[in-house]
Amino acid sequence: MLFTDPVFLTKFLPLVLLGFFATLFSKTRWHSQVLLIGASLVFYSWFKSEYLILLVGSMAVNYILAKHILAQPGTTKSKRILVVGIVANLLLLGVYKYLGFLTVNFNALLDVGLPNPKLLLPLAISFFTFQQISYLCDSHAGKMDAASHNPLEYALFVTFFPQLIAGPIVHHAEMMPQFRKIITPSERAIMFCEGLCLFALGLFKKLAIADSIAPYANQVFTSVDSGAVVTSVTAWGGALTYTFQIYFDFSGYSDMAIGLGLLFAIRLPWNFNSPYKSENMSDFWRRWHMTLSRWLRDYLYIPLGGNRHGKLRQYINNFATMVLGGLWHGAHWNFLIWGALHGFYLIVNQFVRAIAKFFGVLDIVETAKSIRISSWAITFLAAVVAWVFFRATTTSGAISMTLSMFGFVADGAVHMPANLQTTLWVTLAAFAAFLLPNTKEISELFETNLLKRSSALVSALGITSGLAASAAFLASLSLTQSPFLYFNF
Amino acid sequence: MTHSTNNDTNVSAECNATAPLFKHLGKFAACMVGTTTLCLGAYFATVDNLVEKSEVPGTYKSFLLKDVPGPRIIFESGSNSHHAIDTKTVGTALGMTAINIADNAGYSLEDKVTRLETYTRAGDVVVLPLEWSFYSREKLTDAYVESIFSENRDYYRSMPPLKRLQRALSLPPETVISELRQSVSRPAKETESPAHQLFSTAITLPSGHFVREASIGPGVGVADQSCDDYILGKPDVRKTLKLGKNVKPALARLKKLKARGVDIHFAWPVLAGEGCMSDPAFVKGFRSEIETAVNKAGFEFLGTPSQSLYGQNFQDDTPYHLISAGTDLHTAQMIRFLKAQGHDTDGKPLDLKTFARHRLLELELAEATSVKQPALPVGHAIRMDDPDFRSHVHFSAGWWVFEPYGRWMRDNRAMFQVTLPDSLPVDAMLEIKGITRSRRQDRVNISIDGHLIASSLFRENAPLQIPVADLPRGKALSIFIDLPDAGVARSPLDEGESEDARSMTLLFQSLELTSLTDLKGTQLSVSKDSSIEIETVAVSPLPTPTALSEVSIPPVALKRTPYNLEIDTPKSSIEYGAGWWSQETEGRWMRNETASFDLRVPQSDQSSDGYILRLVGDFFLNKPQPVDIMINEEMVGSATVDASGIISIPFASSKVSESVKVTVNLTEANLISPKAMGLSSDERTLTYFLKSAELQPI
Repeated sequence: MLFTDPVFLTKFLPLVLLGFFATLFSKTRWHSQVLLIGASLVFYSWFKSEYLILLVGSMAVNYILAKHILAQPGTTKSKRILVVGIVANLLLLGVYKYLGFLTVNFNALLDVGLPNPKLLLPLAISFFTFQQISYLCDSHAGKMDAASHNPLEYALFVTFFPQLIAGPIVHHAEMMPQFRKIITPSERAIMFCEGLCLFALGLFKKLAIADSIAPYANQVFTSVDSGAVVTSVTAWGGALTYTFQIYFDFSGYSDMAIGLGLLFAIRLPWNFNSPYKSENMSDFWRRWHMTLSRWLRDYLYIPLGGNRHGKLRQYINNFATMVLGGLWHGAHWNFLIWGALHGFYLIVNQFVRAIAKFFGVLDIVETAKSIRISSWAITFLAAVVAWVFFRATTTSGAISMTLSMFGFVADGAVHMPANLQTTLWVTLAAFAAFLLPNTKEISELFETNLLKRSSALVSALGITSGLAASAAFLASLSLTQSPFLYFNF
Repeated sequence: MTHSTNNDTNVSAECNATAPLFKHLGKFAACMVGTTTLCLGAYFATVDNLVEKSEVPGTYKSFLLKDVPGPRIIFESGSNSHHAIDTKTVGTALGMTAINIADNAGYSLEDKVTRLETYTRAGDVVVLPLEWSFYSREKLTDAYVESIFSENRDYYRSMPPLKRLQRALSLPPETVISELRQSVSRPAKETESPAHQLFSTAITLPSGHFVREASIGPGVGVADQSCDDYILGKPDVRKTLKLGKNVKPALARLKKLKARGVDIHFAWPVLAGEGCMSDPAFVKGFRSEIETAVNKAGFEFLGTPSQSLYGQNFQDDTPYHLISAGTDLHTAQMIRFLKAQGHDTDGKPLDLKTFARHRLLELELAEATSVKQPALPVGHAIRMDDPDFRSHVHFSAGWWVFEPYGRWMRDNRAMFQVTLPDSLPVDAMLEIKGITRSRRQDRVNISIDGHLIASSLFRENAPLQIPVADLPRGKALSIFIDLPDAGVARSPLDEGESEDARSMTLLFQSLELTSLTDLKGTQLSVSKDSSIEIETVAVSPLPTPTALSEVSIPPVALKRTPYNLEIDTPKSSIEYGAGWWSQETEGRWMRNETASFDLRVPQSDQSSDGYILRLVGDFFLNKPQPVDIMINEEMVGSATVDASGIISIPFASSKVSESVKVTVNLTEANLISPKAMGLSSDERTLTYFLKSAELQPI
């Protein structure tokens, strides 16, 4: 069941909402929590019920481990349990996600003929594993209150269906308190309407924009992956189209998830903040997949030493974090290269800033308009180039396309012109990504104006949401729909 | 480490006055819901307007289902039953009218059920040999979606409003936008009779079933894959085949239809070919899932899948299509199945051809409403090949399509519409020239807007003259032509003259609004003919017509049947060689610059000293041009058309024996079709129309 499935929109969601509002009449909170956990498990098992055991098992083991850690946080014993927990989680992730990749590469390298296990990747494993690792870590670090560790809230934190499949990667510190918070009817009403608005905008981003431009990106990448060499124009066209497709697909999904959360009076963290407006790579990673960046920073980069051990170590830590972040997306050399490219970009960015600082021109670099525009353009183009490796299914295809983008085109290169519809949608997508306010800003506008009782703006938001919902609905009638891209991860 | 949630605005602190807040929230919700409703409503209205509306069904099969009176045996599925069930034989064997409305396996199962719900009546028997794909496919196919605006409009129009709304809101916007664009750029309404194509089908396939004697060879993708791959998809797809989510609701609706007195049977689709039904999905799994669902809904299958399996030698272009030998076997089996179900009566099936002839005209007449058209010019004969005046005459009902020399009436009744100008001579007459197919004179009654105006005998050189001075001006007049004594309309095929199966009665060639005074001066030959009698019925003032709406005639692709009358050119004199289109009433069109024919020379003329070859005909572009003539492959000279439209060229006797081969070469030919000139949908390139050829000894 996807957020865009008719069965989700017409049956599952209305039923769960009805049930949820019915539980609000109850004086105890656990009714609504049980209902949401049950609904989330149904939602998850809709995709593949076999992996429900895996999810429930993983939750149970982590809950028990956390309980033991919380009994004596910060002690050697709890550290041992933490290590066991992290290893167990990573092992689970490793077996399902990386064993096949490792086997293939081992066989290629050593010719040992190990059988390829070919396991199907359980849905959302990367997301729920990371969330639970952070829970264990914070339990050990004493950031958790043992009294607040209860099975229902823990289960809801892991499984809450709006974020279960593809994030945002939530943190217990932002979720658990909300399960206990008393919300007034007017707060709930604002959140509900805001949720509707975000969900409609997310639907529009996914169905109308991302899915409209996806066929052209698919066409170009399928060609290069099958060995074709494309012209420079085609390569840039394909890469740019995918750049906007992945942004509107994933940010659209995230908006829908956040919108759904708000329908249940739960605020999920923002995942995007106009990443293509970034003026440098560090800024890009503060705006792109923000919850993953946050997790990598808090549970990988900082534990590795962060910037506390000199510039060189900082560069190494940055690079390692990005490579592992790349691999988190999937077991493929292309993801590793994508992560490495971003690691390299970050190092270059930090190095340039360090030099500018050394010469005392950092202020000029940060404020001069021409430099800012150049920085923005370089950052955007660097991201576009990296997306080629993220999207291509073969390394040779990605290299060939990158070479084409930089003018190294062999004779007989294929030119694949985009049709008018794709061109118009990509132009609209670029306009929206570069110039329009993002959903986070719109959401803030929504709250501010409701509080100010600005009738005209509230109406305008209502009309915008209606237009977005209608356009998304009509776009969903298209005979070609693409799956959510981040479901693969 | 702390983690702040997004939007940390302290909402609760500022939410004191809840009433205005809820008012604003209500406004937000109302705006959102209102906008969505407005947008989707506009989309529905757009689709609803784009889907053609007409009294005349879009397809002959729709006509059969909508209009043929019951009780009937109705075969509904995709093209496999279109080929596999000979409904004429079924009807005769069971004593009931049987119709074959099976059209395409790519169409929507739900919409098929809807049209059955709308048009079947108690006592009807429905047989559903649905193709396998109907049981698994849930989505609409592109082909169906695109056709719903035109030829398959009846599927949509048969729906109740709510279902129509649902269907409109399931059509992808790109198709709707493309249709909208086409409707904007579509040329002005055609002036054709909207049912001419259905009439053509009524003559050739009266009960809707298709006949093909021999295979035309494998179609696209058939030879490259196994029969099972073609029917159920590749093995990995077949493995996952399961009953579509739409099947059970469709079965539930059919169950309700059954409760209304419509007897419904399921059957298995035919398959013909090597290796068909070797996949287990045909015997268990998918098949058993289908059977269970159908049986649970209270229906039975007639026979088993293997009883619908035929060998490769019965296959037409796909495993789903049988040639007629297979159809005969399958039809006989179906008759046995239906007899076993108790469907065997002593009744007589309806003569569908005759029914369709009358009913289609009625529908065309019902569709014909007031048109906006330019007024007829006075004193200008409007020929059928004159593109500047095509819009002046609207051939509302009972006509075949335009041909370069005129337009045939399909049957004994037809109607056209013209508008008279505001100023007319006091003795104004509308003169119609043409010929009857029999070449004999026929009585013709003319009614205008329901009032008999004139009754006369008509034939070539004896035009119809209708007094129009007292008729209303500035609005379209509906002129109804009736041939009361013409008998059953026959086709060239009926007469053994050609393969043209179209029935035809009167060829309408030209129309002129003129005055009686002018006619007396120019048509002495007519008045000299004592056999011609013109009766004029007193013209009474016509009643004001009832409210009429705009005529809407769907654009219909023209499919001409070759017309092979050989009236003016006896078979003995000319044998056509290369470069000609098929025979028409007065002769043949050349396809391009060069064409040849053999001309027989009577023995008595073979000893002449020399000859003159005379060709009588017309150039398509009305622009005479030089013609090179070769006799027996040798150039004999070049000639031009003289004042009487004849090409004459002398040549020596040495070239003549029992027959001569004449090659005509147009030196300045311009290859163009009536379609390219906007005259009609005729796509043939036409250059020179040869009416007769004569070899005269000198």
